[in-house]
Amino acid sequence: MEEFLKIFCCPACQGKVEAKNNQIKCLNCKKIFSFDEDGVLKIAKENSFFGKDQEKMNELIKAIRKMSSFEELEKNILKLEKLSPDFSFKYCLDPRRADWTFLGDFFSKIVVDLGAGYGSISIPLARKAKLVIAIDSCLERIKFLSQIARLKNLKNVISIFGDAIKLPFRENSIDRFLMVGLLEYFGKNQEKLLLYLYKFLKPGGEIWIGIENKLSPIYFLGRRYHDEELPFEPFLPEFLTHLLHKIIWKRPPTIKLRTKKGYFELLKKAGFHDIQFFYSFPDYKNPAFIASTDKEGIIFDYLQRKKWTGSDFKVKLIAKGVKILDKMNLAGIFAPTFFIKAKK
Amino acid sequence: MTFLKKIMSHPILSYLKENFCKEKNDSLNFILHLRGSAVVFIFYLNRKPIAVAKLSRDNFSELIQEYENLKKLHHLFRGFEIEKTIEEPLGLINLGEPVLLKKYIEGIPGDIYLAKGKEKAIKCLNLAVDWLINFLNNLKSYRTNSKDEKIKIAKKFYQGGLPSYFKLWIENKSFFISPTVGDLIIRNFLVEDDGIKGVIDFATFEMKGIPEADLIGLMVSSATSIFGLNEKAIKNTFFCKNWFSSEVKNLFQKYCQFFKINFKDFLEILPIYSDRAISIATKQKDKKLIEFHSMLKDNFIKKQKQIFQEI
Repeated sequence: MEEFLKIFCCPACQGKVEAKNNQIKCLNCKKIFSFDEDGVLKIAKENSFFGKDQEKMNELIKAIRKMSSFEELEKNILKLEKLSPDFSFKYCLDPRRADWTFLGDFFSKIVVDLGAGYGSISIPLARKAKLVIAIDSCLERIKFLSQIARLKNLKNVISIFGDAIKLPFRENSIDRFLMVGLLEYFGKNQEKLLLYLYKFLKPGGEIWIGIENKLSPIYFLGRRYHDEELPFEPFLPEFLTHLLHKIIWKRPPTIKLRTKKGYFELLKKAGFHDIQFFYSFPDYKNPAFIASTDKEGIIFDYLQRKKWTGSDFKVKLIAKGVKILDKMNLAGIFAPTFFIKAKK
Repeated sequence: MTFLKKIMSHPILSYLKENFCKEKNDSLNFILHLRGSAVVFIFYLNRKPIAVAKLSRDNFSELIQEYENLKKLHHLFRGFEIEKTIEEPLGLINLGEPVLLKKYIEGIPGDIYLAKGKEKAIKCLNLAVDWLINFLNNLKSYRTNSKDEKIKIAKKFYQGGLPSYFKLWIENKSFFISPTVGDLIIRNFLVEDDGIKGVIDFATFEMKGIPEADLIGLMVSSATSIFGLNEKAIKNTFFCKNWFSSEVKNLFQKYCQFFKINFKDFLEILPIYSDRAISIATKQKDKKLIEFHSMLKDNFIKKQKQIFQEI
């Protein structure tokens, strides 16, 4: 907490704060931010529930609240999975989902996980980082995360119900920002968000982004990013996408994917340098492997020797496709997803 | 990349650079392999794999243990041909957490080699069993068939009374305790057409283990790689007549002949393998594996007399 207060400032007026009785009070505008019964610091006002069944998710949190250790939770996984359709061990708690963090240096760092969700990255990262600040605008998810941190006795995890665009930090105070599966949701405002985050990073600090590639082969096959998207949408001109979204869903598109070059230029425009791409297969949520380069034929070599996963036809076909692309030095351009690291 | 930069400045990487990097513009890249119990970096120098770095998600002691085991194995096998097939540890380095650096071994993982057709599968299985026999034979001075030592091992699995198959294994002097790989699976063999290039993953190596469990593990892991982790694998390996079960039977007989073990007795102690496999799967919290090995154990016990009967 002490470490957290060193970097915390009032999200409304950037004023200095003091902590007292489970509350943080702004000394300037006198606003009060409280920690709730689950240990979540509440900054946001509106909850954007992101799941199938909010009521059942709250029942799940209630059940976890009564538990006293992570071992107890592990013993009751099946029961909990039945309790809420939004909870699955593999998606919410599998530590392998944070394996990509082995790519970077997070030791003794102050890390902010934006759109932290259930904590599949924040929780495993707490082992290495000095402080992990997990932020999500879905109250149920961040409550879940906070409860898991409690059960695992992780004292260096701070859970915040908040928005990525209203952060309670001092400038030049953060070592690492993580945005895995988040940047795409900022549509036209991606650059604005990156410029905003830039100021909170310490000099030499890093932003890590996990994101889909607009040129992922799955989009050529007509697959959609989510329900509110048209087939082949990544390849349509922007004005047409806007028009079609307005006609069908009565609102502009929220998702914006880019190519490798597009992400590079976006980050450069926001002031970042030393931009490095890692190519994650088959996706960034549960990668089978990640390559540091797309130029030396190492993806082909790796696939030639290692089984990707399982032995089903689909995986074999994809692996074959990737091998052909890598032979042509195109596996990176058409990689399904990227992890991108950029420095301030 | 920070990790790489850190590792680059480390003496172990200096070793790699000294031994592998000869030119100024040599390029060092990597693949991060994430489909296993550990996290593995495969380092490529000028497009060629040269080294692997193994990291652990949470079980650091296992990594340290593996390093110690590899050093011990190279010491035990010094002067023997088989030493060339044991992966070579380059060092255990500390980057805030232990990183086990090993020399890269060429070859295709055994489970992929098996999938290349019946002929190659038979060849691969034979090569693997020959390797195991050679491994055990080179370490015969460390063997013992002391009852007390055997009881100590059995007690790891059963606190109370021992099942009859364990009693048989303890009483029968032809069964011996020996240094064993501990969890020998076909995927850990790196194979080329001209033979075994190497064997990897000695995290579970033990000086006093049950060699038969390694042999059975080799066959069961081959079966699951061909037929899947299901009942079909059990049936096709032990209870049906087909090329695979015939080969498994032949190889079991070959092993028994070499070490002068009665084949019937060998078949009776098959559930010992299951006890070991369940214990490993429990440690790994792998529900699917626990279920599979429990089913296999059940089959070994209940249908004991039907094993290989159709062959």
